[in-house]
Amino acid sequence: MTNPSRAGLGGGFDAVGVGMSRDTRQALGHALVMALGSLLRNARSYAEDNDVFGPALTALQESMLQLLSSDGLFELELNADGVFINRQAIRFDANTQPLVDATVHELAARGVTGISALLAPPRDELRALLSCFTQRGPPIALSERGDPRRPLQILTLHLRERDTLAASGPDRLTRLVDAYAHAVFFVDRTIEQLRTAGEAIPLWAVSRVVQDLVDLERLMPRRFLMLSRTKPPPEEYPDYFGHHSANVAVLAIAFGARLGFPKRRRHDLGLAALLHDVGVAALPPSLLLKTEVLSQREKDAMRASPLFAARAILRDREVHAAALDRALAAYECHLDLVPPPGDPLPEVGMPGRILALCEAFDALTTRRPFRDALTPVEALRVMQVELVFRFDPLLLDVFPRVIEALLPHDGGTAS
Amino acid sequence: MGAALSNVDALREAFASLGRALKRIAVYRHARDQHASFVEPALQALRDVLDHEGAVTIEVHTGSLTSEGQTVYLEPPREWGLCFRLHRDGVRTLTFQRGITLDELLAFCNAALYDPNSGPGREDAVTELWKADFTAITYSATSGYRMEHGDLDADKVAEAVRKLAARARPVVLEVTRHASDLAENTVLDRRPQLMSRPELAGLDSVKWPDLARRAAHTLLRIVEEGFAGRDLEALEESLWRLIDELVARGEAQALARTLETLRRLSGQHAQAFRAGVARKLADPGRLLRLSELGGVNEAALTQAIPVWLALLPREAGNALLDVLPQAPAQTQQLFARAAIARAELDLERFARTLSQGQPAAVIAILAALDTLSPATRAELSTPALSHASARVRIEAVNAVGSDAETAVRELPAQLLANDPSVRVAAVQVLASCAGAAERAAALLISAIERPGFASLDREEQALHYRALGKLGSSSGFQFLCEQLSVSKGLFKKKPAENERLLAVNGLAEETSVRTLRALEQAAAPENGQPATVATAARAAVVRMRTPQPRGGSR
Repeated sequence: MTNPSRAGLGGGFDAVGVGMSRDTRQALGHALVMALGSLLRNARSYAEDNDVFGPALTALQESMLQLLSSDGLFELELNADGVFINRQAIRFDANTQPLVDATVHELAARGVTGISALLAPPRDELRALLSCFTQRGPPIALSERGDPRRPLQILTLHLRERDTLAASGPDRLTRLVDAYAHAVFFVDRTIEQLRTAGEAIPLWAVSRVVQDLVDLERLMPRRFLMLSRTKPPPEEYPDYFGHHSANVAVLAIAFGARLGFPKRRRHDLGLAALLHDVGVAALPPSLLLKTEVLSQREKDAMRASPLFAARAILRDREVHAAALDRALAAYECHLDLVPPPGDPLPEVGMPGRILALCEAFDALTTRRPFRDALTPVEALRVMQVELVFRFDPLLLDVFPRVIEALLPHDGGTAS
Repeated sequence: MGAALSNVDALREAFASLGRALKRIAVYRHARDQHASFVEPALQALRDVLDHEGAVTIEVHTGSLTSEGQTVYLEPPREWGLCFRLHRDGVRTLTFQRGITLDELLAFCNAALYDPNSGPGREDAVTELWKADFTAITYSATSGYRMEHGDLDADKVAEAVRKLAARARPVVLEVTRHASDLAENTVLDRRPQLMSRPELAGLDSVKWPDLARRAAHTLLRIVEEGFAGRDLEALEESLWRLIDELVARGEAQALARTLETLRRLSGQHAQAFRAGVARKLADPGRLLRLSELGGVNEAALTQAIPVWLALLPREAGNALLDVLPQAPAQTQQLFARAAIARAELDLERFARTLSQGQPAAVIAILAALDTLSPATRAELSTPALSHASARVRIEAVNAVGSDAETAVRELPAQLLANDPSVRVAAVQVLASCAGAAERAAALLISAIERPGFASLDREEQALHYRALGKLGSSSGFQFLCEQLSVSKGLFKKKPAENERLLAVNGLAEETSVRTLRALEQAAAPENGQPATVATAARAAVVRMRTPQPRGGSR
């Protein structure tokens, strides 16, 4: 039976999102690019007022309209990374990919890397767009308003100007800090999107961040570990979980490296760490800010959040080992390894055991609304004495050696 | 890589060979032990190029690979090609270096291989390539982290990340001001591993079935606690995907435990959740895979399949029947019982299965019918009487015989069957139709009186007579007495000695006062019976008068 004291949890998780679904956008994007491709192909042979363009113009207009009405904008981006509609990557099957490539190539040949609009374009506007591509004779220079002789009113062309990413890659430290910042951003954004049922950042995107973190840890282990000292200022407390999760990822990757895990396992640990607290999206923000003693109901709600984290991962329908490890770690890292008398001994996997240590250490060394931050040494003492029932004794023994770079050399209490 | 490829043709041959290897791996996906032999020719060709070039960088397009502007591999744009998955997931260049090994090239092929069934069962190609940790293959992917999604544009992401990075940078710089790259390297070199490999292996034994079982339990706990919310369907899908994987990997015990937890699931949403998953479990393809697992795995047969079948919805009966013919023999009985237990069977289809189905499957169904009332069992078994297989017909005769009324209605044709074993079965069944003794006797008499009866095997003839006697019917008694009588009337044929002996056997089966008298009469010397008949009748009388030991048999 549902525990009545927990009823009402997960409001954010169960909110109905605004805007269209990813699948709908994919379908509309697909239709739109196909229509655009058809227009460009015919534009080589026909003038823009030819009836042959009719069906494709209709399809283009309808797709744009739907995107505008749901997302409030229409933005088509074509580049070497793929085709994006309203910032969602549109995927094509092998049969349609050649047409897409030809379309991208055709637009790129005229310097066009994208098209956008904030209002629904009428038919005339689309014909004006077409005129940019039906030019015969010497090509004209397009501006963002298209053909200067028949300028666009609503649509905007994005022209090539930014094939500009610095050829020289950023230095290692910048890469390290950038990857960390993206990790924090990902967690904050994920929690926010879970609260509002918005579109989450896909996992493959953050997987690249974690890959870089793992690679950089090998190159600069000491500086890498120092990242975990980055804390949010107290006034940003509701956003604590972004930094906290990224710090746990840093500690977990470092832990994995010291234990001798292969890099794929360190990656999975890091990704699990980033997701281990996303269940807080199910809790009311006021509860997270509360400084008084929690009621039983509130305590129950807090205890439920790991299950929400697992839910957020399991609902992605991924069943490969890394995904299952993520879901389990998110849940199991909050379990006590030695349960209260009478309760069954919980099964906790290695990722959960490692995250439990890293999570507790970072939480204890961070200032919270209800207490000050402890120094690393104090935090270790608390973990070894007061919270010892939560951790794997073998891992707890070696943990200080993992974080020794964070501890003062004199063994004192410097923060 | 050199400024220009000196041997483009060799490179083309290497990638053509790689393309062929990938195709063969795709076709023989499950023959993993053969994959290395598929890749070996490509490896050799690639090594030949790399021995000369040192390293080769390839650009990845949707349907082609190019090197320095020259196409080195071209394929129709198909999902299962060499380029499609790599390009789709963002791989843009690949560099192969001297020293490439078979394991690396095999791992590369697996990352490139498109698997239409894996779906969410694997990570993206870039992550797979990265995780493979190659030493002689490097790749580049699309630039940046691509976090702009939904209402977030790249500028907003960049702005937010810039602020966060500004916070992190001084922390790292401040503390590591004195930690030069040299110091970092020293740290790196000096870092001892904190655990030995055996210690680590003991602590971190990652076994997929264990992961799957724990994940399934966590998922079910989410549902039980009432936290599934609008993700109920998504969680359903995750669970049946897990179940699919458990079946595919032959993990019967983990499967059984997961299904048992699902069966016992409580809570507000348990019923809806269980029903949703159960509908998927009733899919014929899944049922077939389950039965195949049961055919080779004892734990699946005894633990997983019973729980799985118990979870199936009422409408799953037809799907179970459909699967039966292809199911291994060990599982047919279980599946048949599960099908019969479901009321919503399409009776027409059921009858067709019984009359035309695969013999082993039909026999399993007939056996499974024993859970029903005798009349229903007999009625439902009737179509199998017309099956082409004699084995099936024998089982059907026995099943129809569970109800006397149905038996006397449906079995006459079986008494005339060409196959003697079917006839014998029908006679034996009719012998036990005490509830319709007179009609059963009439059928047997008619069988005895038919023209070809005399040509039957003597044992079979005796069986008919004994069956008649065993029924204890009036008409049967009268018929047997007539067969034994000395005078049969003026124009009637006098029964031969053989028929009289058979009649003695038949009467002896009834063991009643009236048969005792009839046999005593036949045994009397003044009766004029042939000596053999009189002796047989006497022996029968003695046998009938001799008390039988309790529990003994005659």
